[in-house]
Parts: sequence; structure tokens; C-alpha cells
Amino acid sequence: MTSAIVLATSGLVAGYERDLPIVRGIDFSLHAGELVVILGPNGAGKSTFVKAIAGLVPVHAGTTMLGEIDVTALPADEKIRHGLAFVPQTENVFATLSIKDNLLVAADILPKDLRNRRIAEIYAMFPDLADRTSRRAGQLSGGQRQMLAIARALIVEPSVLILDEPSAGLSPKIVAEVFARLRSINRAGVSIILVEQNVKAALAVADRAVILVEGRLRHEGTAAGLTEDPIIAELYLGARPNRALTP
Amino acid sequence: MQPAISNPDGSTTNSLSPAPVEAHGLVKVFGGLRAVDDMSIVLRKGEVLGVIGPNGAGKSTLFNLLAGSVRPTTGTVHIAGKDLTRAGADRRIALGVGRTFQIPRPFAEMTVLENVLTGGQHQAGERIWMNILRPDRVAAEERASLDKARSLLDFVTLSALEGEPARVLSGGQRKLLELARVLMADPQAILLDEPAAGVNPTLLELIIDRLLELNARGKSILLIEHNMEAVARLCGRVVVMAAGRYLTEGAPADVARDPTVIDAYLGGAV
Repeated sequence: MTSAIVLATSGLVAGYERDLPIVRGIDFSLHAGELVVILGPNGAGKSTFVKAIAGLVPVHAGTTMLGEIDVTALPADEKIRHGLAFVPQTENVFATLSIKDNLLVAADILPKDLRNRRIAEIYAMFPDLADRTSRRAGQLSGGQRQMLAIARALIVEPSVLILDEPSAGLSPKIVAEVFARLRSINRAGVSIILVEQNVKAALAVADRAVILVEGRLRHEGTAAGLTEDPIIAELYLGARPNRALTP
Repeated sequence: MQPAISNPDGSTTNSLSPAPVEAHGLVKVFGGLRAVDDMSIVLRKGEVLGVIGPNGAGKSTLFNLLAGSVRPTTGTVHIAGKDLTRAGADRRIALGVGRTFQIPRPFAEMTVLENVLTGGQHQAGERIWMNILRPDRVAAEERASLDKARSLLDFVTLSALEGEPARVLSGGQRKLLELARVLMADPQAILLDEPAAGVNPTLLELIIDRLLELNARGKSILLIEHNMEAVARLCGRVVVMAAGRYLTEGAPADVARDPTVIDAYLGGAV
């Protein structure tokens, strides 16, 4: 991969309490146009790592660079202004607000004259949302709600989109739709970091995967490269002996 | 049309050995939405039964009706042969039905061990006069509870974290903690809402092993799950729901080949 680095962490240490770091010094880089999946055992620090990048978990040491800008100490809303969008795993929409109001809240960060145009563009990308614009988010199915959460993140036209387990709780058919949508968003030029436990589905769309263990980056490589390593596949990817794990 | 419910041997569900959980004609209406619409379901003694279906099919509402978190608009729920349609979750736990949630919410500031201890039922120390009249018995029970909680933490591989506040646990670890807390109540039937969601594949192997072990020890298990591989390995029978209603049922492999299930739920993902 020779394209420019759009996001990089260096020696990132983060956690809810200073004396209990969950992320313990991670050097990571995301290249322009890449879709990277972050895998690892439960408790490895995957969600904490991406939340720290997004400004939602205290960082105790290290840096996060967004292009040439050091965004380590910026609050989450400032990072969004710089093009770093984050979709949390849960509570990622306002359940009592309509689809349109959810998008308007997300668009509030944009200049006034841009808001309606961006919402129209989002509706063009997500016709399912446009068809039910006054429906309350809490009444949407799990798949529709996840699409709304992704749509809210895209409204600011981010250069980097981070998603924390977008497939959790979704039916197999909808998981396939969500991952196909992420791939098309990625092909449109948005670099993506994906935390996932649905290893097969994630590796099928990812350019590269990294594996965190106990707060540290332990392995990285192409999806095919990692799954072909029988030890890695068995230890971290859920492959049972004598059973191939195919992306 | 949902078929009449019978046991594998052809007997009715109201036989001498009542089903751990049995519901008939359940309807739950929220405003104008019929979230569950005339569902009947029986968890047979000793089986692992799966409930699958698209998002919004009413699976979690069905679970809430069975566990007592929500009252049905119409229909009945029997727990171990007793009509508990109007009873709350606490009475159902007392009769041996424990449940977990899709998104676990442990007591964040309590330790992992303390969280497990909260699952204990019928403890002598809950009654003031027992603490005065039989402190020895209360103390002995507390020691036994601690031993049991530690052994359950060992069972779910969280022993190393027993003294940590639950808020530091990851999503998958919270699932394990919740399983341990439910097991603390010694349920005969366990209702699991998406035990595989947010769980790393390697840890999922452990959870599947543990659930099979619990089933081998006689626990009946009803689970909602989207991970069809886990469903296939755990469940002898699967009920499919769509739009609040019964769609079909059968062995996991048969259900996965059913064109109506593929269209409504699986798509090309399997």
C-alpha cells in the first residue's frame, strides 16, 4: 500500500482510568482508500482503541494524526469537523426523533446553506430512509437503524469513517447488506476502520486486518494472509482444528 | 399456520412432566404495532431451542413475554406447568427460568464477583430475623454463595477479573458475566438473547462448549441468535418468526434450506 496515510496513531495509551490502561501503546496507520478491520479477543481493547481515536475515551499518552493534523487532544465534535466520523455500536441514533430530525441534528455542524443539500444527497444514497423520513428512529428495524446511524456519520462527508461492530444484532441478510453498503462507501473514497466480531463477513470486505491482544497490536496483514496462518486463525479468528476459515 | 404443539413422543405438552416454558396465543400490541401476533411456543425439557427471524420480527418481545418483563395483550405463559401469565420476572426466576439480555447492563460500580452474587435466590440472609436468630446459617450460606460465584466465574473464564468493577469489562466479557449471574440462580431453563452478538469467534467457541455442557447437565435452553453456525451447533430445533408471527420450524439444516426462510431472513448469506 503506497497511498497517503490518512490516520495514524503512535504509542497510543488510553483507558477510562489512568492507572488501568486498556490500550497500551498502539502504532497504527490507515491509508487513503483502505478498509481495515480490527479483530481480537474480547477485552483486547478494540472498542476502547477506536473510541480513543474518536475522542470518546481519555488518551494518556501517544498521538493521533489525521493527515497532517494532530487531533489527539481535540474533543469529539472537533474531530468530526476535521473529517473523522464515528458510529458507536449502540445508542447511535436518537430513538425518539424522526429520521429527518436525526439527520438534521447530525448536520448541525455544517454551514446552514449546506445542510439541506447534504440531507438530500444522503437520501439519494439511502432511499430506504427517504421513504420513511418522518418515522421515529425507535420504530425502525435493526438494519434500518444501522443504516441511519451510518447515514448520520456520512453527513459531514468524512475522510475517515470508524464503525464499532456495525453487524451486532443484525440478521444474516441485513449483515450482508450493511457490509455491501460499507464497501460501496469505501469505494467512493472514504477510508474505513471497522471493529468487528463477525470475522468472516468483515474479512470478506477488508483490505487489511489487524489483531489486538491485551491492548497491543499483535498481528497485521491481508485478510487472506491472516486466515492462511493456522495458528492465528485458531487463536483469534475462531477456526477449529481441521476446519478452514474462509473469508 | 402454526401446527399444534406436541412433544417428540406425540404426547401433549401438559403431560406429567410439564415443559419448563410453554406459551400459547401470545399477542403483544404496542400502540398500533402488533409486535407479537398469535405466537405459541414450547421449550421442551432438556432441549436447546433456537428462535430466529429478521430484525423487527418480534423475537425480543416474545422473550420479554416469556421472561415476564412485559405482560401480553392476550395469551398465556406457563412456567413449569404453572400459569404465570400475569406474574413478573422475579416469580419466574424463582420457578427456574433465568434470562440474559441482548445488551448486558451489569452493575457498573460493583465488582465482577459482586455482580454474580446478586443472582443468588432464596438466601437466608435476605430475612432480617434469620441474621439475628441463625447467623451461623447465614454465614455458611454466604460462604457457599461466594464459592459458587467463584466457581461460576471460573466456568466463564472471568476469574482473573473478579475484583475489578464491571464497568471495565468489554462487551463480550459482559455477556459472560451475565451468563454467570443467571446461573447463580440455578435455573432449570435459560433464555439467552443473542449470546453470540459482540463475542469474538474464539470466545464463542467457549460459550458454545459451556452451553452444551449446561444442556448435558439437564438445563433447557431457549436462545435468540443470528449466528447460524452457532444455532446449527447448539439447537436441535429452530422456530422462525417474521412480522410477529410463526413462520416455520424444524432442524437447523432444514430451516436453512427453506426458501421462505432464505427470502425473509438469510438472503444469500448462508
